[in-house]
Amino acid sequence: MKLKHLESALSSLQREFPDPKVDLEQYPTSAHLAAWVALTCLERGDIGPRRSVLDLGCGTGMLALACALVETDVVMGVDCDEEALQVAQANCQELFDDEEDTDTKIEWILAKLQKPPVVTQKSTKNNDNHKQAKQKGGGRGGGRGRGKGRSSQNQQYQHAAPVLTNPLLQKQKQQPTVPTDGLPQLHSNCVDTVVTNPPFGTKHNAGMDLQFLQTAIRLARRAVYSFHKTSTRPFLVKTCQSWGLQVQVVAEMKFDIPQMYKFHKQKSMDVQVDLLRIEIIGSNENDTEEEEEERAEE
Amino acid sequence: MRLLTHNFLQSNVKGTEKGYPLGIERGAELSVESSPVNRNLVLKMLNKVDYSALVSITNNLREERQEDIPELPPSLPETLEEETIANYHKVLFDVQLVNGFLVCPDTGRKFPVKDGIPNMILHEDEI
Repeated sequence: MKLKHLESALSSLQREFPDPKVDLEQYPTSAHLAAWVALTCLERGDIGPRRSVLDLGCGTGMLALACALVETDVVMGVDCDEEALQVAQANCQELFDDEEDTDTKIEWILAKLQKPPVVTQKSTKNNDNHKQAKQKGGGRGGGRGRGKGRSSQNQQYQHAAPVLTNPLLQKQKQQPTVPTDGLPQLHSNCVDTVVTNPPFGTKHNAGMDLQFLQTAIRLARRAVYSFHKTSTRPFLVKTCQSWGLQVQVVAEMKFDIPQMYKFHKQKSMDVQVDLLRIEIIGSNENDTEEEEEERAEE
Repeated sequence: MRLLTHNFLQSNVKGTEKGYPLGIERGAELSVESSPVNRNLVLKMLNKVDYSALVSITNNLREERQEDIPELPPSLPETLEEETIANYHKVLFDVQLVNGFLVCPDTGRKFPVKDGIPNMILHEDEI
């Protein structure tokens, strides 16, 4: 599907929020941006046929529905604003008014990320947890890409659950336990790819962008696409690397934040934004395995 | 809300040990569609879901809607007949909870489902 086709399909939808809430940093996503992101993910095989995707903080559903339009098998949209989700649901009906129009399974879930705890220094806790993950034989792809984890002494951090706990530790397939990050109600690894345009954590919400990113990484088994202020790039790249994950800057762009809230003094403001792609460790081997299975089936 | 999504959801209300699988309160409004079977999707998703939770919720719903909801094998068979795959497709993707309540197995906390959207948001004092 061409960019302009996708964009034009999305442009008829209501992208505005019925009642924008300042603490959620709700800004409409343009049809152009949503279409472009979907095609970028599609090109890399992260969404599309045989893939499942979750839009974390989906708002009125622009990104989620763009993913549905490129024939992703399963699309889940999660947001904490009921009114926004109702718009997303109505948008979905408008786009696929006839059930026959799509085979995509689209689900909307009302859920809220918990406020992030204060970000603390993490390296030793991280490595400890990592080690435990390896011993248990969980935490797939463990040990790659890190050098200095040599602490074996104490177990006391096991329940401490700092915000920067290695998210891979929580990737368990059977036996779900209650994870301690922002969105404990959704199982780890439940989708291939997570796309998220999180709050940038600027309005009384410091750290929210990182909380979204961490949760996204836990939920995905293949890749995460996430928007962040360019000014936070060095920190985020370093943080992801400390989790043993590869980060790529897929695009740099300017967000034009319109004057939507009372405290905005200027008419609009340009913010430099990166679209990051985080590759989840082990996704490649996992993929081959799956494809082999599929071949065997055929 | 499809049973696929039900399989991925759990309760984390204060006092919950495991919070999984969520029950579905009796008398819920269900809709059962018949979408074309997507064999590859079924096979892929069977690897991702918690199988025993899927079987137990299916059995619960069958108590009320036996004629619409197929019975699933108690454990995942080694070889899958086409008919069994169609049954899995039906249960995972065609059975939808439209209005009703999900129930935390530990605390009994009810999560409302309205127009197909589950509301998992907790009050401040439940966290």
